[in-house]
Amino acid sequence: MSMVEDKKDAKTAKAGARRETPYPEHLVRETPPYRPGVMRVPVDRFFKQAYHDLEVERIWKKTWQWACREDEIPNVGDYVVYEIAELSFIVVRTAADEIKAYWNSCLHRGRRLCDFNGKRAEEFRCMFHGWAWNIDGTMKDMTCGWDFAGTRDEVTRLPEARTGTWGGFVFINPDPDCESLEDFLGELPDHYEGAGHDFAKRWAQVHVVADIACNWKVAQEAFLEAWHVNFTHPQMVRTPGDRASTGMRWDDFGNWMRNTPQLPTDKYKNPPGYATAAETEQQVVDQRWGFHLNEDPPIKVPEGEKANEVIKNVIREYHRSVLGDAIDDYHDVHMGGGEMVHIWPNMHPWGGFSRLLYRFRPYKSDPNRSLMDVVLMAPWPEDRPRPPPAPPHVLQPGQSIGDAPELGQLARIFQQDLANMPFVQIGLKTSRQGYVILSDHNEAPVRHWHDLYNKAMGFENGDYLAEESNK
Amino acid sequence: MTEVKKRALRKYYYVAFKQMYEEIAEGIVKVTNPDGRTGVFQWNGKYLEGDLTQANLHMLVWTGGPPLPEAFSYHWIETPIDVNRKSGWPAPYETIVDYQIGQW
Ligand code: FES
Ligand SMILES: [Fe+2]
Repeated sequence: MSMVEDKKDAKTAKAGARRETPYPEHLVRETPPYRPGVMRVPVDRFFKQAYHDLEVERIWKKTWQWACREDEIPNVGDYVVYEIAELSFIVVRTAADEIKAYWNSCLHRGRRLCDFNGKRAEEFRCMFHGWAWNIDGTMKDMTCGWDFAGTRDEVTRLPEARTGTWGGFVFINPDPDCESLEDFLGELPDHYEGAGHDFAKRWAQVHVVADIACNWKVAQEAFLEAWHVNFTHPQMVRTPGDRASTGMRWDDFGNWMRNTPQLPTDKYKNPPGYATAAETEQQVVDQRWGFHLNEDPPIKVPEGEKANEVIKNVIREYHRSVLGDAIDDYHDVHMGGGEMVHIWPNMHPWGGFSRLLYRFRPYKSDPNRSLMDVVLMAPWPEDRPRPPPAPPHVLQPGQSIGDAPELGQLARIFQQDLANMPFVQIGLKTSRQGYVILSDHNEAPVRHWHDLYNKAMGFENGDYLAEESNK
Repeated sequence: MTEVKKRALRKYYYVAFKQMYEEIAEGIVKVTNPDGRTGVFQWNGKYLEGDLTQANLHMLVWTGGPPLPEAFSYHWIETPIDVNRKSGWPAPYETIVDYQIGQW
């Protein structure tokens, strides 16, 4: 594969030659442009209870979804309570190489079995009348069992959700008849492990959970396309004279979709980018680190040099301090990031060294409130013990993302996205038009997502829950 | 208006509209248009005073929104790491990201 050639070049030449090496194979892999055309989506799905209730039945009970990290539950008996809408699951390590998930509900009168994450559990005992199951899900103690004649067979095992792992992530699917996680993900693992980015070796250094006053789909759609960057993040200017610098390629891999920068080798020609071009190279550096005009920028672009080269070098040298010279195995294109992936229905692991990972969940049964997880998946040297993953830093309603400074400049960028999301929610509810319009190219991934949504919800022949006038 | 102390007030140039955005107090931003008109706004977009009555919300957020403490002004791709520490963070950060502390 191309990375091997990169390594050879890195040994014989310095960074300049690396640009001549082939692009990583997974990035060269193209799919035809997504189904053309604009799409109109009724607004009803973003705030009506009926959609939330149907999503629970047709999405959250039927789909593979990222529940936790394997290293959150390193020891037998360690468990995480994974909650999605008002469903709750216990995800527990039952053996060194086995993880199970149970519906978090007592088979007697339904009390939630576990209220918090826990360590080294020996049993799951209900705090109402004391029934208990072993961590392998078998019945351990049916208190006053004599009083429940003929029911023991019904409560002998906790109902399970299916589990699977990829890249150190634990996925669950509550549907016992679902396809395997491997089939669901398709060629996705090859795009990460095959490109030298194995999430199983990464460290979840930062984990912030924001509680946002909008539907989970509204929050997610703010991160499904990059077009909004030009207006919502107006400080993000690109290389002077290069308006094509954020040209997008969207590749459709079924249950997931990927955005990469356009490559010179592309067979399918996409429209040029839309970015604001900077007036000077220094402006490109300034915006990346948030440097402002009342300070002397700590990083300056030397006369005659390009900001993008300066930035790539900073990123490469930072990674050298963590990974050593192994960083020279990686193509420049892995440095800047910008490789965006969304996996149906709600997981966004970025590619390269971007280290961004998002997840979007409805908040309990409220269609007007959602939780957004933001995780920074840091590289970590393989020969050192990896620190435990950061526990979720949950921001309360009313706190701003500025209360999570561990996100660095990302906190300030999210503050801009957050300045839209609750107002999208309000605007959708008062929409006289009754539908939103998604574009052909720049919003192709949002269309892709709604195509999958319509399929999962049974809306292939139209959104039958929407107001007649909104369809 | 509360005075901002101990850090430089932020000032940014909005390339697309050729406007200057200057933080003049906590959460308050003055905008200067290329034609010389100026306006003062809250960081959430609300107009306060001046003959320039409209501005870009997101430039106001960028300029006057919650500031980052100095130590956290890094780009997230370069979040500080110390591979020799159990926490993974360089020592000075351990007291700041102490919500993680039980984990170390
Ligand atoms: S509800 Fe669990 S033991 Fe009664
Ligand atoms: Fe954004």
